[in-house]
Amino acid sequence: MISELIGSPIVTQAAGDLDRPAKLVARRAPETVMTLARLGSFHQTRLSFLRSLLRRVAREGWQFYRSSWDVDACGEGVGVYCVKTPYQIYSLICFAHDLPPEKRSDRVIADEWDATFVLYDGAPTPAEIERLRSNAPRQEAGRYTERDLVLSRANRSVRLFDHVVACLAEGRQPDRAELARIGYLMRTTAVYGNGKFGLADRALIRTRGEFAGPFQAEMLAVWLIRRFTVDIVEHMARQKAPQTAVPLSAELRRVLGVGNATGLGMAPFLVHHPSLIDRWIDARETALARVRSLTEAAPQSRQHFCHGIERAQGLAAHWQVNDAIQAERIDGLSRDLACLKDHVAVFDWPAPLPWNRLFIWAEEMLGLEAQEMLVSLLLEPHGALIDELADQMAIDEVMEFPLDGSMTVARLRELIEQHYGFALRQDYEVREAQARFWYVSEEKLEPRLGERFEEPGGALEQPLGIARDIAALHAACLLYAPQRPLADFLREHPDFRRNARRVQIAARHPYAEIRDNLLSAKMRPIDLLRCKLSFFGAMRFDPKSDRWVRITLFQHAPQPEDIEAGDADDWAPPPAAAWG
Amino acid sequence: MRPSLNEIEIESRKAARGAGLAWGLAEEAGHAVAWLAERGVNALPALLDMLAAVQQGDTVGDPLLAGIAIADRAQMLAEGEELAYLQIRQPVLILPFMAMAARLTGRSIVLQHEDGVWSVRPGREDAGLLALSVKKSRIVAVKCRAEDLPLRETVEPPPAMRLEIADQTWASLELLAQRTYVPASEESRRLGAGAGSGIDND
Repeated sequence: MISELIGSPIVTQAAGDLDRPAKLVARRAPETVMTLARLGSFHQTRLSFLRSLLRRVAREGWQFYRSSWDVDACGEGVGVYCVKTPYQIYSLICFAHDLPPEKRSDRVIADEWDATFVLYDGAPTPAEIERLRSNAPRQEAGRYTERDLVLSRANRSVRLFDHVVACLAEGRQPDRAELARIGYLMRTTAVYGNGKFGLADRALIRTRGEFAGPFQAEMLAVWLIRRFTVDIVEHMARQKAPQTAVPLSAELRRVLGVGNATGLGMAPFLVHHPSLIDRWIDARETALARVRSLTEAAPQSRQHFCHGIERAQGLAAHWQVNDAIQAERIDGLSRDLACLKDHVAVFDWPAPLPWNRLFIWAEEMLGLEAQEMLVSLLLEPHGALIDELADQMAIDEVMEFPLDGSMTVARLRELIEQHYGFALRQDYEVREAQARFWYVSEEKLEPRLGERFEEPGGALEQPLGIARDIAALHAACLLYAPQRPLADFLREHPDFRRNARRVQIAARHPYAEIRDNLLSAKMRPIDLLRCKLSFFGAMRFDPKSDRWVRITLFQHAPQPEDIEAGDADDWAPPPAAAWG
Repeated sequence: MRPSLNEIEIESRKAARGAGLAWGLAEEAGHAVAWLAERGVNALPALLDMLAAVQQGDTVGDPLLAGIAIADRAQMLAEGEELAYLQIRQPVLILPFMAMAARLTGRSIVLQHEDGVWSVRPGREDAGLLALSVKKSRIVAVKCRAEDLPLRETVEPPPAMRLEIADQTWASLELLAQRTYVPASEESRRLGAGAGSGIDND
């Protein structure tokens, strides 16, 4: 692991290390980074998981082919896409369905979809396809095996799917601007992995290089789903008008991503995996600190960066949402990007540490959306300096699990004071501080958010009130003999066990803990969702309420055939022309 | 039913919580049962037996508490402390904790009891001990300490296939897990997930 500093002033690094900057700018402090407001302002970076996947695909020369396509005139049937990596073959098995419109629902709780998918370990035999045919269309109600890595489903975009089929059937290309505006032909409503419903455990595939990073199998599945969405519209167009139908042009195929709707189900993840989240944020912050530590800006990087600002302006201009709060934030982002552009035009590039000076200026002058966009833009030209950090974004959580019971209660208390100041400052007697509770609904087995003082169920709350519970742990420590070991304390107070473990993890992993109260009346779950989705590589976050959000993945990214032609990574933010 | 390790861990944790254990203890239970499952041992019946006792308020010989004491006190065991128990029920459940303590301290963790001596060496798996312990419903007059044992040839368990879990066992687990869920109301259906009509018109 790289020992770069956190939250302390600039220090001089040992001379002689020519590959690294001579000075090290510290990483931003956890108190700065780990607030919901900032986490909820993150954008895709080149360390996002779909970006690292595509770089690997290009680097290792993965090959793609459609090994079977058996879909009828109504769009019912199965298609199989194979990926040949240097180590292994994987297949995306796609079941296409013909769904009546009233059955189409974004909700995770729907029970029929336009298409269902399984990423399979190897090349499936006909018997395996039959096994999956009787399970995948039922999604959560089906059962899966170690060979099945990822399970997903998607619905057609009502706005775009039929329109594109009609255009292609008439022999003409659909309007680029319209495609770019909506962004996808199909939208997934869940992408499951890691042992759910009997799928392969992550432990089974994490030792494979291609899946060592987080969510790589899931990202591969979504990328292949994107290819399927193109094939299925072309198929429907041919069925409709075999004489006149044309395929979608290569340029327009790129414009389309995969939509995704994500709700509360994803929110607790960040809280339940503190050491993993630390790895993600740590990589991102380390990358930023490395760029800020560069003594000078290479002309090429500078040019790349300046184009990036214009591209980001294009992205902001094409990021349209109905949500009033987000719309205002996007307006602010556009204004800030214009301001950044002006500043860069008169910026003193030759003076030392230009990127760092630019960033310090932005912290003063720009809002959070733009500050975090700047993080993305600063990382973009510096792949050679930072891309290897993508390999440090996974962790074996089993090794983080043991609790050190020999630690004294006094030491635990100190650690709480050191890392959980945000939790200790809050008064939990105030109703607003405990207004919400997280629970799992019996009906859907999905995480939900309740109003503690208005609904029943508070007694069955899930342990996401970290701030409140750590404050209680701190109070209990104050009443206990300070020099006795934690093992004794926890034997008498088992209710504190979970959070005592958390404190020890947070002490080892500075970015493990979100520094906000997740029970507060003011908490917005979409901030948690956006943070996680930005690490996937999502763009154009479109909140539909404070608890679910639509996004696009892979919009403007290369298709498999583009990567085979040598184009993997320079697509984010997309160039202005991409929007039409 | 051939559940994944993740399903075994999550369902065990929920069941333990549903039986009334603190979250931190429930996590330990899930962790321990999944550790054993990964090594080919079905400890779910042992867990269910333990949780039945928990629900009756009977913590005498509780293997989870005994195991946690061993892991929590790993450092103290390494410094010469000895733990003693009149009995431990479903003793297979303490093996994951002995293994954890052995890994943390680099010492062997030795359990001496009326029927013999069980030892877990750091980083070593012992298929024989796993198979033997799961058959015991209890061990008595137990003493636990850390030792420096010479490395002995042990048979590593073969890479585990997924366990076949009896439907009845899984159903019992789910029944306990269910107690952690909140029944739906019209209000929660409407507000809990924050969605609108649910019809996709996009």
